[in-house]
Amino acid sequence: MNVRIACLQDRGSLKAEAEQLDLGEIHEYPLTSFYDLNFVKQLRRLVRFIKENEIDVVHTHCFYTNIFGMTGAYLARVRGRLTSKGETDGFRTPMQKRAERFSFRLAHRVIANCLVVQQMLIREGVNPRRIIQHYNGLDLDRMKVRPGSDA
Amino acid sequence: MKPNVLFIIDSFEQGGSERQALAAAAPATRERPGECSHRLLTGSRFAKG
Repeated sequence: MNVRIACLQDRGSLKAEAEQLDLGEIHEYPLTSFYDLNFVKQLRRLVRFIKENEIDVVHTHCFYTNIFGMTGAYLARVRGRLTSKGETDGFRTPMQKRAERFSFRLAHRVIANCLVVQQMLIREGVNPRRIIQHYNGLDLDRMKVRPGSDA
Repeated sequence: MKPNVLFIIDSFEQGGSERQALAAAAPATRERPGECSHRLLTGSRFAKG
């Protein structure tokens, strides 16, 4: 598949690693709020990018990208829309929870990173058949001690 | 025909979701025609055609 990456904040130590993947220009969509004119402006940029690049699948990875990305992907009529949920209850305000539930309704699949999150999503009304369980893990190759190293 | 996939992440900080997105993107750039290394798509409506 052809992969592109977009972000809400173009900063962080993994940027260099992302650039090495040679995935083309990484577009930034800086949000200040879900309730201001800038959100509409960034959403229009995202929809335009999706259409111009004929994106088939949009996969979002956290609370803010779920809401922004799923709304944009839905408006652009993307055929495959995936969100992710990797946190349990207690982090979000009631308004934020409503907004995220809305994004889950726009998604074809919601990825839960553990059984607890999966059960929470079901309690909150997400269709169990639309939930994919995908556990977090460690890439053990990155933790191997190289011969001759001090570690 | 290869599908065009867009990953949207918050930032490039050392977070689990950011790392996961890059890990998924890396093997995808090395796929041969007809292959799909992204396991998360296997149950999706898109994958069923």
